[in-house]
Amino acid sequence: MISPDLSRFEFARHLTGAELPPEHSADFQRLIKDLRYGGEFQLLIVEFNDWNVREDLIRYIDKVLEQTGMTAGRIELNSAAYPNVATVEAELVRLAVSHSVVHFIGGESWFNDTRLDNFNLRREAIAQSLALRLLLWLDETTVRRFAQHAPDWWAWRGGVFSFCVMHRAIPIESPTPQLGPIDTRSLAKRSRRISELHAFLNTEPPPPDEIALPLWGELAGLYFRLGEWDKALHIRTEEQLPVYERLGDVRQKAITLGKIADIMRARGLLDEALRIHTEELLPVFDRLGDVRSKAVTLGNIADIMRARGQLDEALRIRTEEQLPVYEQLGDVRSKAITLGKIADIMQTRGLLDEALRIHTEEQLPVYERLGDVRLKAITLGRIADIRQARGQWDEALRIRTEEQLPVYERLGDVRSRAIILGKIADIMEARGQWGESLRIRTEDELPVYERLGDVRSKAMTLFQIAGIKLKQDQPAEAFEHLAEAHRLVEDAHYADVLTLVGEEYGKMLCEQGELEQGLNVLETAQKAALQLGQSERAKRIGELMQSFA
Amino acid sequence: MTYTPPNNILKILHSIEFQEPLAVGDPRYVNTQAARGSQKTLKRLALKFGLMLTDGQFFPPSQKHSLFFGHRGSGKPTELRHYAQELGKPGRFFVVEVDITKQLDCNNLQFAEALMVLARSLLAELKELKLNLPQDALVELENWFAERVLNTEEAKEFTLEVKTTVAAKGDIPYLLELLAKFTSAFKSNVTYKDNLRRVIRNSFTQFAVVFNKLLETVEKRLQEEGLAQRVLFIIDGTDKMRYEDTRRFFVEDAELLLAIDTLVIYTAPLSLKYEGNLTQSLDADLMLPMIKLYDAEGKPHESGWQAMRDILLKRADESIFTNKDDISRLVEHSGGHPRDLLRLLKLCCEFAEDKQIDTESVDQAIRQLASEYRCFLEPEDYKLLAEIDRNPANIGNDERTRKLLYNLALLEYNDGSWRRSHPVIRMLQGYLLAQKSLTPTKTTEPLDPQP
Repeated sequence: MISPDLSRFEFARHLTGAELPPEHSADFQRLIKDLRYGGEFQLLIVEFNDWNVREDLIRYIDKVLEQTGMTAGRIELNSAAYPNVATVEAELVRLAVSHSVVHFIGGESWFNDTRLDNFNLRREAIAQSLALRLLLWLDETTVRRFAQHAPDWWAWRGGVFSFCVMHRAIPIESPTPQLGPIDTRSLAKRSRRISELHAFLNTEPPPPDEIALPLWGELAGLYFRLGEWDKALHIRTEEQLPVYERLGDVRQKAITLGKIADIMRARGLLDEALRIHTEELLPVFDRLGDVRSKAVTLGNIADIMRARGQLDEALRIRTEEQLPVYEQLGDVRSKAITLGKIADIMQTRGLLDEALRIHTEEQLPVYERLGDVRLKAITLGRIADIRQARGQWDEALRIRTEEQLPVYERLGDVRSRAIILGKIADIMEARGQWGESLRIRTEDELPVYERLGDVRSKAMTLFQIAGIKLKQDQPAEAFEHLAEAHRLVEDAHYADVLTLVGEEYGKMLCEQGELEQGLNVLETAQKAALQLGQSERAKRIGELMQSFA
Repeated sequence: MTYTPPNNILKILHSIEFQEPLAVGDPRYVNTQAARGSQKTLKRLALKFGLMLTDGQFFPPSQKHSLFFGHRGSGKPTELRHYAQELGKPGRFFVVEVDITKQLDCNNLQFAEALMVLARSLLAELKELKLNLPQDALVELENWFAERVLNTEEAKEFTLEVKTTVAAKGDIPYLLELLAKFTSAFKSNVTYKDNLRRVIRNSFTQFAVVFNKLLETVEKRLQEEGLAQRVLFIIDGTDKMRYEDTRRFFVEDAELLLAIDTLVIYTAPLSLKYEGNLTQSLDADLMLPMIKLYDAEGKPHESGWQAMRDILLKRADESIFTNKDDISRLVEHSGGHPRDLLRLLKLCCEFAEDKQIDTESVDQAIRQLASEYRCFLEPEDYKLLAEIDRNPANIGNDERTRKLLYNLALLEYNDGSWRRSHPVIRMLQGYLLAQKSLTPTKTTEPLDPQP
């Protein structure tokens, strides 16, 4: 597992890089990497040709560095304040006390030949005495002048980074929307894609609606999966909804509202999500006579009901309102999926035999006939869940390793593979093989979520690791993992994980005497549980709070 | 403990240090003699100083100041450290290794402070060795300090500082402390640095006399103890000086260096070799050849490839590369230049966005290094490089050629008998255009230019 600091830093580095033009993204990310992981002294040459861009970049750099506790200072080179190199050196010495990075600004005019020579003379001495990364911001002409005038100095460089703005005479080529259901792109690739999409969508004049809208959709989806819900919501409400309204495309508007409801649901705002589905989507699909979309919306409503514990109502919707539609449409695939959802409700109610029967007799044969390996693997996973719940560890393990894992490996679906490995870790843990379970979680699961920027799964895994640590009688390490998991979900407002983690973390805080903070955490967890309709959990947390109050 | 190269990108990134030579015994060291075609370099160097390595015969000259040339970043100090081990075997030389970059500011270095560092390093080694010197051995050097330096008006600031901090004892520790003050004054850029230089320059003849006497005494004692025949200074860092300082040090002040009757090896930049105005008294024909990846006819030189691969894989575990062919691509684009290979590796680590270095990162690293070379090249440089590539035999040393050698755009192989442009430059548009404009003849291009 990479350290929490490192993980936070990487996330910030990529997401900040995503806000830059695509041609700057790679250099920004490697510059930041160098600043953070390179040597303590570095002379880095940063080339630019637009002052505004330079200032934006400095702000971004400083923002990311803050994540690791590194502070950046700034030296505005001008002859009045710094008549010679010695005065600059003195300022560097002063800054080195509390800074690890210094931006040198104004070098283009300040560095005449004498000052360049003198700076060159002192470079080794500065390098040996100061632990500072110097970012020398220079325009292209000055960089060339330095390289030619002082080749020894040039050979000494730690790196060269270019942030020159290209003034395009021809418009950028329109990116093709990438809206596949499974996104296994790394965080770096996603952030680069975000940067590309931003660059294209913000061109002047703006691209035509029919090209821009699916790309806005992709961008919102990327932000959503990265837990950047405010940004996703902004795109859905400000960039997509008004345009669909203007175009009079009620269907697409409704679909966009559905995506907004997904954000609400992920945040635990189940009431609002439900309202959108029932009041804004269902009437539209009714009016359009779009029975399939209506059935899908009903499915989403049923999901919310189930999350709230309203199992009867969820079951009723599935059996009485959704299933008949798919039967009528002859859509065997959607019918099988719905049956799977019904089986999930059965399983929650403890009706394991009935759930197992649906999975094996009504779902699997359909997917086999359709040749849908992914849905088959998911269904096998549900069967393994039931085997696991019954304590049939060997059979559950066999399904996971022999039937599910190879499918996801073949599909290149790294996230699903990591989830299955997590399930295998569950089995190991239940069998008392804590060491192996811990190894899987830290070595096989966590790195994947970190790479994908999947904050929710990462927090959940940290929570599970904390559980093992507690069993291993390592409360201090458990506490660390809980704290990190809590920080992640608190930032992103993942209500379902927040309530799980918050309950344990708050309890530990209170037990350690951190009463005020602990009670706050518990209160937030209770609120999240209430939002999710988890009344029993909310009650339990309430009792816990009382016992500490 | 067995050394295992790092297999974590961030650790590799953190550990890459271009300026640091490898010490003897460093597990990252790779023997590059076959790769450079330099099997005879050590033998030749030893012979220059009177030692026949094959049978141990030893007839050292009374004085020799040798320059050891090589491209910047080609591994001179690392090689010299290994040579020092061989030359310093009992009964041969008492090797005093001096890293001038550690003790002085090599960006503003003149012979005066270099000599002070020589004296200081010798005394430090003697102290370490606990070699007893005759009572009066140090008196003359002390007197020189007292009379010619500390009593002068120009050095009064320095004298004041010395008087308050250094207690006169009249032995090695006292002189060492005095010399330490001296070198630190030079390094810390004090205002009286130039005054001190002037003082030394003015009384240099006297210094040379007393220092030579000290050396003579030391060598006599070393011989009596059966430890060594002669003192040999190996000075590293003199190849890192600025161009003007290099010229002043080795050309204008050469006679002053030669006034010291001792044996010295200085590292020197390759471009100096072709200046044409080095004094005949300085021994200036030995160089550390570059690691060859191809011979002059463009045929691959296997031991060069192997050595470069080994250098790379001692810094980064092979498992870090998703595609093993990329290792060869990095080697190819380094041109056999160890520091540029490390620079490419560093760039790969910067670009890689996963736990491994993939082909895309390698492509980006190569393109980035090429673009950094583009920063200082001019249209005429491309023309000259393309010309040289067409006829790699060493055919001239004009100013532009020397400049290209100095900034590594032009690499020299086989003791200087043939040259080639740096491979990444051959990918640049300027080079490709220059190449096209040449009258067509046979090509010796081993590299496929990339976009």
